[in-house]
Amino acid sequence: MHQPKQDDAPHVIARREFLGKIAAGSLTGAGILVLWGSLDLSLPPTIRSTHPIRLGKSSSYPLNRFTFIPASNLFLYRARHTVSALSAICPHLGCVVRKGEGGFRCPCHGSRFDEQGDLLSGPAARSLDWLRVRRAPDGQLVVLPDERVGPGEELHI
Amino acid sequence: MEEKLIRFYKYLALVSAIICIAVFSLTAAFDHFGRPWQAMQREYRTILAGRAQNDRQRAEAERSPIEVRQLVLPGELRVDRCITCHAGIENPSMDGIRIPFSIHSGDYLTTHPPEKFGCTLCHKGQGRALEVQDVCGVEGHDPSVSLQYVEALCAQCHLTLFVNGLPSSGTEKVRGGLELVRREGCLGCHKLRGVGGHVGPDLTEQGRKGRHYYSFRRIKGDHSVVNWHREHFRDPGGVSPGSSMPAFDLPGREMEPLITFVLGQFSPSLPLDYYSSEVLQEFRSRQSLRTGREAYLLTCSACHRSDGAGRDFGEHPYGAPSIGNPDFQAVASRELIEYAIWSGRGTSRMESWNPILSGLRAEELELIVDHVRGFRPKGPSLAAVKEADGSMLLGRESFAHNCSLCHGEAGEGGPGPSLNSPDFLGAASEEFLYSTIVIGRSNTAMPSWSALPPREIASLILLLRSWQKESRGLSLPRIGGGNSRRGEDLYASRCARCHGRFGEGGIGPAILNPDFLSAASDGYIGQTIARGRAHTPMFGWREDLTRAERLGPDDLGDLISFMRARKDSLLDFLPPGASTGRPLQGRELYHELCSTCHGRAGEGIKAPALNSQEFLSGATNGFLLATLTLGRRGTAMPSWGRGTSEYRRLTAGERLDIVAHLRTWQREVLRRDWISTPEP
Amino acid sequence: MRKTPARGVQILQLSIREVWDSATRRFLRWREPRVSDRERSRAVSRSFFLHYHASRIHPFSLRPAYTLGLGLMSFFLFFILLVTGVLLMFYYVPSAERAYSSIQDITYVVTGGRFIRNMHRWAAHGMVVTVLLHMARVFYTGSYARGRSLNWVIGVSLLLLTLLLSFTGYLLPWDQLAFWAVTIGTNIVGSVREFTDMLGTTAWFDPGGFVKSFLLGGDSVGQEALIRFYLLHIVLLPFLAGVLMLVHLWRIRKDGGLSRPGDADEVVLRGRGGTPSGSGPGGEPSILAWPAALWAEAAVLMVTIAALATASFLLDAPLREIADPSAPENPAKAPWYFLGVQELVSYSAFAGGVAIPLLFFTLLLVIPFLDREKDHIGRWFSGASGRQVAGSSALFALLITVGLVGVAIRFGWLHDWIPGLPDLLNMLLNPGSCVVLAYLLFGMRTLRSTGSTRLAVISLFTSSLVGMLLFTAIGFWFRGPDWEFYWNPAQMPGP
Repeated sequence: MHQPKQDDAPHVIARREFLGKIAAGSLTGAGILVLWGSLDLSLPPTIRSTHPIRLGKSSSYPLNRFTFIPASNLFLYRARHTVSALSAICPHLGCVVRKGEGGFRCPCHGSRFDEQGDLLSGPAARSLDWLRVRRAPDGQLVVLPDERVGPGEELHI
Repeated sequence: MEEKLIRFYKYLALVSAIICIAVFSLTAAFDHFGRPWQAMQREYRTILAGRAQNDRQRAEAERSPIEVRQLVLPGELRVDRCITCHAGIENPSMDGIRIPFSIHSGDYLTTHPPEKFGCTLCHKGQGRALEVQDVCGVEGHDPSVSLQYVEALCAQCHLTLFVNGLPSSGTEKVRGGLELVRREGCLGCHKLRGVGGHVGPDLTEQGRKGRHYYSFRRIKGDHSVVNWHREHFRDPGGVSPGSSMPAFDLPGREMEPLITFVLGQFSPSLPLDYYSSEVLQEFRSRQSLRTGREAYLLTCSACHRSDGAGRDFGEHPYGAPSIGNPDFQAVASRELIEYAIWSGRGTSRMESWNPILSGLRAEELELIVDHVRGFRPKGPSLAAVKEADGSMLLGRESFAHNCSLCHGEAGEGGPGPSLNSPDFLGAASEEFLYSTIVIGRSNTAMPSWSALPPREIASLILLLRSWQKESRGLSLPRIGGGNSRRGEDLYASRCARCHGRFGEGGIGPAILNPDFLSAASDGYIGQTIARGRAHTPMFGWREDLTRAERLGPDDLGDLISFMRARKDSLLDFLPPGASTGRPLQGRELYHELCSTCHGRAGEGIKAPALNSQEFLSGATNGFLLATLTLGRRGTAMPSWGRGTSEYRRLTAGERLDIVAHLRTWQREVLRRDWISTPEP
Repeated sequence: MRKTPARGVQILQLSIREVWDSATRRFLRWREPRVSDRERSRAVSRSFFLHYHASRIHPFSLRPAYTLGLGLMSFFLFFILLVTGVLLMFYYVPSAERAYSSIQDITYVVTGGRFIRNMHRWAAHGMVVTVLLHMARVFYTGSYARGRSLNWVIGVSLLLLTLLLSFTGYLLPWDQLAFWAVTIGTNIVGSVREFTDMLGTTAWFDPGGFVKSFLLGGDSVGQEALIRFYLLHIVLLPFLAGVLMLVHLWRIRKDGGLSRPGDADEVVLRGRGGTPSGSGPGGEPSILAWPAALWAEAAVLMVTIAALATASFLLDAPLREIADPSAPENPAKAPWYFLGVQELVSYSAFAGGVAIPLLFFTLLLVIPFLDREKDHIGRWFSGASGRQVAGSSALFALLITVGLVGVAIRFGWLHDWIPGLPDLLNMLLNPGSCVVLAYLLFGMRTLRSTGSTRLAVISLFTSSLVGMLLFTAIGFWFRGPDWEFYWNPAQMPGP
């Protein structure tokens, strides 16, 4: 029996469509890869401050006071048996706070914090961060600037 | 209508284009012909041609091009275009012409060739600029240092702080400032080149700080860095609220050198061959200060004054004890001074000066301790005392005024040992009495009475001798060369219960006290141990005991050699000495009498704080008792043993009670770890 | 007997002649008067540069009081910025060590350097102003309606690009002003993190940190940031802006030329005295672009350049001390066009820095879709009622902004009165958000009382504009060290 012609035709059209569709899809995919790759390239590969900050021995620091470490923008508080680190970066917009009587003060928009770093007033939305202090194998103090800890946490020495 | 609009636009375009042409032409003309430096160079050319000595020179001068000239320092450190206008700076024939054409003054350009130094290294300012207002600074640029303070830039490469490395000429102002710093004790609060205190900011880089580092909010005069310093020195608290810096109201001839000095503080940031080797050495590892006086003046005198007079608690935001006060010196031991300096006082005012924190070396700290110790009056020599003509009357007066406070009205004892015991007087020689009185017993309540005149001391000895009834000399076989280890055991088993585990005293006197051991001869010690002291708990270890417990001559020898050996060994802490007072009663007395000035918890209000662990670790009970008893003349601390018109006299028991109360504040004993601290 | 020239020489002579004829013909054609409409039309349509214009335009578009030439001014300022920018690039070095000295060399030594730098700076500020004014003009004449909504969206994007271009250029001199302004600006952008922190999603979704590290190439302003800002400023952003401007101009033509009111034909015919000269399709009056439009543009161009040149001759662009990362300016102020945002940020970082600007821009973008009315195009304020609404909104914005901010400064705000208030409420109810809320409510009230979306949108736009101006003014004149408010700016302590 003679097959009707229509049986052959749909397969040919479908294959052409498929080719077109897959070609278009690949173009789009390639384009997306280009865009994503460009964006990925543009994001900086190394951020400088992720490695811990070495601060020397605890005995180098004056007792019962906050000592400002300018290079790392933090305050180190050494008590007789504990050491703790308070970030000096204002949680509002990243300015560096200054120590004053009874607390800290941000010069950019006037946020104020008490001696524990707790927020007293100002546009900042939260208190200053306390950072993790560890002891390196050689006995030096090391601060991990990306690791925030609770306000009471200290390193015992 | 459109025609009118088009015509309007055409006119608008025309007018605007004419304005553009005008502006552009003016700008171009100005840039090419109208710049001030071009006029300067033309004038210079004229002058040069005028001074030419022959036709060839004149022609050359007239042909010299009008162009920007610059000095590029090695490594492109700076680009200085000053010579565009200051064209004659190196030309000897330009002597006597007005600035800017004249030759540079002095011979500075010989020692500082322009190709290497340029201009701005010494004169500051914007070297790349070509017009005066750009060079000197509008809008907060770093202004050209006025010639008045140019020496600050000399200091950049030539200033040494701890040795004398400044060139002999041309640095008078900086030298003056340095002398002031050395005299006024600025390093007591500020650090310079790694040495100093940390109460105030580190000043090592102060010369590099431009206007934006300073707050001019409360400056009344003109807003320049120089004036900021001037006003700040005169009134630090006014300019920087909350500052505890004392005011330095100096006359102009001292203020200006001091400001020059401060502006001249730099740490090396240029290539190393710009600096003198002394400067580089100082930054690397400086030479030690040579004398205790130098070190003291440099670091302590701002608060404690050069003569140790201290600062009044009322006059100043915080007081500083008068460490030169004779009464303080009489009772303070070397250990107390060491503790104060090495550990500080646990407050932000008296910081620890240990080498890691202060940058001073251990030997320099010892020199300072020696110097402070040197404030104690020397005291007369033994010969002077022997020669002096003592009188019983004077002796009785003096004894009643000074000694009876601890030794009892008739020398029967109290907190201090009894002095009228014949056993004591029989064993004690003139030298022993002299040493004891004049040197005292450091770290006990026995002060050094070196301030007394020789006659008075002689009178006291006379009085003591008058109590001596019969002298029972005891013949002792030769005591020598014992086994100190055995002596140690003997001491621990027999003597320590009264004389203290470390010989610091208790019921009995401090017999391992170095001052005692240097005053007492072996014979004295032997006699005292053997015979004991009648009417005191010290019984004769040879005389008064049964055979089994008696100490024989060998035992004595061992004990004595132990005691002699003990003189050299140093404990790493200071035993406070026994406290025989009653703390609760002491607390009542303290609250009644002491807390107004010293604070209810000893935190210090108008008087020094007494509750710091550093203080209590360095102050023995004897020191506390003696201070209480004698007071500090010239200060607000009365003599509680004598009483004053305002304050009643306290009995020995009451004084001991107060001491016991103070001792309850001690929670830890700080170690003297500086004894074995290695050099950082 | 004369020698005939060799064949080669002949060919050479012929070629030279042909080139000369062709060149002069082309050149000389410009000198021929275009007397016929056809010639005038061809002048525009056959030229590569000019064929952007339609060959015929509606005469109403020539009226200066209608558009004030603001769009053209913005475009020409952009062009001037390109030219002066390229000139500056001969000497500028985008290195943290050398940027400042290269600017000093340009200013002090390079011939005309000071002038060109001034032109670049004032053109930049000028462009921000003209773009904002142009947007206001387009808005108030309702020219975003009737199919022009795409062009409006492109325009708002161009506003954003202009602000970004100005911001990226601000850093390049590397002086104290530049450094700290950009530090503040990037911190404002990074304040999105405050919001994601509150939601607790920062660990895996941190757009604030993302954008900030894209801009800075690190975590603080340094050499990497300088290079990125330079790249954005001279390549990426100008390219985007240029492309969008070309689309913007082309859309004008596709949207039927500049907008005009419904009775524009009558106005024109009245002005002519009744006789049309040339008809456009559909019977409305039209004239040839050559030379009328070109003279109008030439006039705007020259006025712009003249004003700019005069300003550059008289006023110098600022250059403070070299940037010092360890010495923050106090107060550290963002560039003037961000000062309003900085003032809002001082109430709440996220609300002021992200939420309100985003709200503002979103509303701007959707204005054509909010305003559903079709018949107010082409007239300033769309008539008397529009003028009235604009006036009352401006007054309302003035009173409520000054009032609320005054209260907040004098008496404190919620977080001072109720210390235990949760952070979220503090953020949502800070003075800035309350003011914005007031504008929104006023706009809705206008909608309800007049029933007209156009009037409501006029109300919103006007009050926001006035509000932003006020906040900018506060930030500019009344904020001193530590961002303290000084009722009398004269009492502000000097630097």
